[in-house]
Amino acid sequence: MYPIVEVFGHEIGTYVIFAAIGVLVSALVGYFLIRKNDGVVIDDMIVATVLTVVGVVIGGHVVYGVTNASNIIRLFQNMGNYTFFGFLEILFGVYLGGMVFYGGLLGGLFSLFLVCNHSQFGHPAMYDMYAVCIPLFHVFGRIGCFFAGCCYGIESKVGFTVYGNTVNPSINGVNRFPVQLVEALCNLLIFILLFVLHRKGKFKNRLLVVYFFVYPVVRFILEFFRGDEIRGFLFGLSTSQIISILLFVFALVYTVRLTLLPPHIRIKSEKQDSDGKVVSERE
Amino acid sequence: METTKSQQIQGLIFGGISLVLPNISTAISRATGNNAKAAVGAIVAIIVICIAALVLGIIGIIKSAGARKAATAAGEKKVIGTVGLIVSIVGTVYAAIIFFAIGVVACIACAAVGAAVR
Repeated sequence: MYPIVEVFGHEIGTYVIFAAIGVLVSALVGYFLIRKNDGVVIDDMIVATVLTVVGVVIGGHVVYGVTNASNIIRLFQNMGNYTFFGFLEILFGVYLGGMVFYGGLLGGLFSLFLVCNHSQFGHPAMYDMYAVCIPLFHVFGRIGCFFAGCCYGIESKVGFTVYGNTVNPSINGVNRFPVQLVEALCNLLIFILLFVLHRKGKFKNRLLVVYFFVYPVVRFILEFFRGDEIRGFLFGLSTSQIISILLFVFALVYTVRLTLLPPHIRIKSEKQDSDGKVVSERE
Repeated sequence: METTKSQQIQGLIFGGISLVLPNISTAISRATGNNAKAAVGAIVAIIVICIAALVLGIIGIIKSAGARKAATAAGEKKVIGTVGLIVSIVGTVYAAIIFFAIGVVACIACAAVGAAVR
């Protein structure tokens, strides 16, 4: 495990390094995907990337805090037992210090919505670009998780033994299923699928829905192979499994609703043919 | 007469500030003595300065990018805007590195002071 590395003389978490590389690679791939769209320039891409990252960070920490809601409430109830700095350290360093992927996903999506609808830098093509780039970023994020040792797999004969985990020392010396690496591989396959669909122009403006169909299923199954207990558990399912169900249902409802809409409402765009007649492009 | 020059200069200024502020924070950390409480106070100040640098850097990126787009649309030069954008990006990344590096130290220091005071 290598939870911390040194960069320019400063010690930084390995996950942060991998996340930064993931953001850079995803942004470059995203720009490559949509640069030929009219109106999308490098400036739009830079601002959208920066603001989306801000949304991802905030969203990830907020949902992590939600999974620790009972601990945070207990902390506030027992404020008198802590010093001021000790209280801050536990609140921000422990109960709000981690991130949940789904929180980051939704936070980033909300930021992108704000950029696309309330700024000069947004473009509708960015939603499909976001759908393709999320799993690519997630590949790097999960590899960062593996190096950081903050989350880990169940004890298993399949897998390997890790050492040097200072975040969770109790897992050292035990053979575990490499759930982070398996999820990284699954995300890579999802990225390839969405990339090909984007390049072929399939499911235009609906690639996010495709992602919400595929990734929640993968995540729901892989959650059973995770051994870390830091996430919240409701009704026998983890918080991420419940969010997976909700996202899958959302994608299902969206698709069914779109299919049931009358044809004249499902017109996507109109253009003129060579005779000057208006031709509607339908869903 | 250039109309976007002021916007480009604003972006450059915000970017420059975001680049300078983290250096102030590292100077504070070096100037702090061995007193544990003073070190924790300095860490809190550094975190606040880094957050300010991050915010200003992001504002610089937005302003510089907007100024570049406006300059392109107006057919004006965008050299200052480009420099401002690069400086803002570098400042934001640098502030983020310092922030996350200090965060690792802060958690350890706060816990130590908390235990010592109690």
